[in-house]
Amino acid sequence: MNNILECRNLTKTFGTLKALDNINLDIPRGKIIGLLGPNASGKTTFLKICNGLLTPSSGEITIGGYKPGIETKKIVSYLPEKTYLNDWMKVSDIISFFRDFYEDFNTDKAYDMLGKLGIRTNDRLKTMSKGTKEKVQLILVMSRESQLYLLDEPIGGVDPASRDYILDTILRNYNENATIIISTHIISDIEKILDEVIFIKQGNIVLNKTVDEIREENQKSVDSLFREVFRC
Amino acid sequence: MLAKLLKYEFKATSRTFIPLYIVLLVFAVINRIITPEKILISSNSFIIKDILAVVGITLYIGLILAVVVVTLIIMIQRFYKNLLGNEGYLMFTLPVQSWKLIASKVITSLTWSVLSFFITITSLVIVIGPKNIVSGIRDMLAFIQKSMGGAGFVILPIYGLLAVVSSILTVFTAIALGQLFSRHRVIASFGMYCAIYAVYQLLMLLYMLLVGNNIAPTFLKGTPSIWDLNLFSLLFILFECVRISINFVITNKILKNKLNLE
Repeated sequence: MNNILECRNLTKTFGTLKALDNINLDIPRGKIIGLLGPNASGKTTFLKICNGLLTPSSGEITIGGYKPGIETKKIVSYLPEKTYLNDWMKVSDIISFFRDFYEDFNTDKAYDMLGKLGIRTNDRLKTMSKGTKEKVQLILVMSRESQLYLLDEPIGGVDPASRDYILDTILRNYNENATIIISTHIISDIEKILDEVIFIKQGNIVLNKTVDEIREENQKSVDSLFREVFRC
Repeated sequence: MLAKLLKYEFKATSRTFIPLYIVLLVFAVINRIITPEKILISSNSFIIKDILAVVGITLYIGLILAVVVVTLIIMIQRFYKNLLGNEGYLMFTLPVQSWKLIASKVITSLTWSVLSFFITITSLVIVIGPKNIVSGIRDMLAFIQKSMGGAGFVILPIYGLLAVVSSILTVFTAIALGQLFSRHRVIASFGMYCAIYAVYQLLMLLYMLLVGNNIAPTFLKGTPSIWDLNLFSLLFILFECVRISINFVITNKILKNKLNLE
């Protein structure tokens, strides 16, 4: 089985609003994929459905052959756009939490990255700034040796200096068979690491190509194509 | 995995309960030492002592209330915030079955409810002195022995625990049902609680009449036999078991198949 993620006619409605409209996707293993779209285009909804946090209104999604559930949660590492950390925990507590629940969690890797970013493991999460919490969360997520990483706006709240380190971290910490889906609207920073891009607009996929194809066919960077496709 | 969930659930909740219990017991000891009620009776002009005594009693009663309120609030908060708020993004992406998440919340809430009860009793023993309490308990035990026989000492605690579990689960079910609404989820949960509560009260009444009229006929006449009282209690244990199962199944179905985190 070559695809890590497949969805067929996936639809999600909130009241009368169609957040995802009949989406069909095949996402192969071993790729870094940009899920790109303006605000409220359905990126977060899609990632939440992948993680079983939202129930699709209709259609089907499978990850590694399973519908979202225990089997997929074992192999998917998810960075939500929200801070989900328990405020009362210390960094070292949340690391043992991850170690306890995820078999693929690599503790040494996590401590190593925390050290490099100068985050003290005895600090309580409550005392940390939003940006630091985001870094901790990303480190936790990237310290798992998963088959699929779903990163929702991983660099949104982080300063540009840390951004490079984080992108570098992402690149260094996944194995070749794993796939990473990065959702973002800050494209220029991320373009250089992407293999493929998916443009999503009002719940519809409007483009699904490799970065090389875009450069050859359109003679443009992903960033300028994005600006063209999503011109207001 | 359930054991691991419980470990973190107790870690998260004991931070609040343990200090609260310690404060309550310490205050009980202080009240015992300054014996405010004696000061009030014997004092003629020691206004400061009077004030101290009143403050001591008031704080102590306030603390008992605090224990009750905190037990309730933590129960609701651990379910609502930890599972259905932002922390739910973590809890529901763990490779754990949803029923284990619910079970971990029920078991911790039950434990703290029982502990809160016994700590409050202990503090009363400290304040009032063991004599009155012990004789009160002795009277109660004698009454149970007389009306239900030895079986009462097994049946009543089991019934008590099951009643607590079913109350906890009713709250969880209401919160879970509230999540099915796309807006005003807190109000919806509250409304659901009232609805569920009303339905169960009605069912309980019907059940009581059914059992009273057909199975344990002396019960409703006011002079129940030992046998009828035990039978009646057992049938109510059955009622609570059914109620717990229904609540659990509904809550689990919603969290498993209908989850829609905001």
